[in-house]
Amino acid sequence: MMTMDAPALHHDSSSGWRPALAERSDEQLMLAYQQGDTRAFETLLTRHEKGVYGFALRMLGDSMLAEEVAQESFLRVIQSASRYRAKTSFRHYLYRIARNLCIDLLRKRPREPRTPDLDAGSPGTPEGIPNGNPGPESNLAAAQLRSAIHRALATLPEDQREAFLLKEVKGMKLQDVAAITGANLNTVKSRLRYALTRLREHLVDQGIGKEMGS
Amino acid sequence: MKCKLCEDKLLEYLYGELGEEDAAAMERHLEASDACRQAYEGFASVLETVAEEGEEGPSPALHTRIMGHAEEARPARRSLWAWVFRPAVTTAVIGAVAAGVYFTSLRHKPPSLLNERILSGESLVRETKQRSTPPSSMAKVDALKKEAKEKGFLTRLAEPHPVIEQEEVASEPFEVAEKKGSASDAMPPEEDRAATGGVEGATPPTHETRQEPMALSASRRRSPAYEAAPVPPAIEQALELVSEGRCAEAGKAVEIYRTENPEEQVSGVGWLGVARCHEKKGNTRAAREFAEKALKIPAYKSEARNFLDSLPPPAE
Repeated sequence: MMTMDAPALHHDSSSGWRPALAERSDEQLMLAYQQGDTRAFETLLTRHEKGVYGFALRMLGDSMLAEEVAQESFLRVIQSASRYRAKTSFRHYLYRIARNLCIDLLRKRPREPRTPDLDAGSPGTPEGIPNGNPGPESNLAAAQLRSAIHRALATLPEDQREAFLLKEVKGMKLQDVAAITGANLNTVKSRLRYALTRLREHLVDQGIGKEMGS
Repeated sequence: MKCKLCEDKLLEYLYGELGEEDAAAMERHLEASDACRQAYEGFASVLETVAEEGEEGPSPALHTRIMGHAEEARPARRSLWAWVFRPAVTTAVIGAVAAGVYFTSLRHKPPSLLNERILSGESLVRETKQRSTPPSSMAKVDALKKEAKEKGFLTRLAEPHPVIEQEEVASEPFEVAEKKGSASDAMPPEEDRAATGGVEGATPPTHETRQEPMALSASRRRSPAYEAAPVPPAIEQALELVSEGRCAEAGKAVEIYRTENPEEQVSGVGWLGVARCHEKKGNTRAAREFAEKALKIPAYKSEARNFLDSLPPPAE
């Protein structure tokens, strides 16, 4: 059972209740949205949209599909808000939806790994993914790195890739990955070890990262 | 990975999920073991590389779209009104109101002209039954019961009466069942239920079940045609008089009904009932007289004939 102790609310005339909302747990925010508080939902969205989108992007290698997955994940949360009970972690709930959507999409499309718009992370691409890099040279280097990482990720089996990418989400613990994927902790560790070993090999093959002893 | 400690704890150490003590122990182990250290550094370099890539964010439009949906589908605050207007509660309330209106309309429906005619025929019978008139609540229940039966009967009158027209076949159980079905098809649901359930079924389910006199039940059982057709109140009253052994009064009641409704063949039930009443009292002559009246009604011809045959021959 989650602990639901709400932090003390303090009203700021310039920013209203937002500081208090930001301090609340995901579950408290979800319960607040259940009561009609859309600001609480916005706080949740701001907290998780980037993580869900990033996870989907690396799983699918397609920014359009990743946005669709992120949107659909939050829409499902919205649709089932009235039935939400804070018995399980909201984060597990949200990422389980996103993960299942990704798996569905991966199974529907051809088996060949794609590394499409991962090369196209620079400004001016149709996707217009913000990358925060200042100049063209930096952009090129970042795009090359991104492409190499995604090519390496694309070679991983689905279960290893999802374990690795879920663990990469900020704040996600090994236990969380186990809960979201429905695997036990040792299985998750094993998948991660294989994933890390294989990624290292691929990155070294592509001239990225230091070559280490086996 | 050969090292048991690293197999168990290296990933937790890599991801910073080990406690202080365990982390310190792992550091000492990695200093001592080249293979484990190399494995660790290899994993760490992957994480560094991935971290260098940085996190990409979605387009701002995604946030706006999702918030649009969140606003649209914003759950209402839960209140008493929210509870009251839940679909299940609303459906139950509407259903209860509809049922109330329906039953009220049944009770207060103005009688039709034909209804009045039939009801007038039982005035004399009512007078003779005053001593056994139930209390007002029971009287209301009885009135409802009679109304339901009457409605079924009147509906049947509007249609050709297959049972009456084909009484010869009515002795075959299968055919009787078929006729009951066809007759009930022409009725509205309530009447339909009453007709297909026989006379017993004509009693609305909310009414108290009253123990029927044995003679009345027996007289009903004897006539398949009777079972197929609901009985008008006047004849019902007459049969109740029969069950009380008041044969003369019953005869009068049937006579009145027959006079006012000469075309209604259902009076045959009354005649046969009165005939049996007299037979039971040993008045064979009167029994024969009433059975002969029933003999003139086509639907009850065969039953009346059987009854007459069962009587002792008339004295010379």
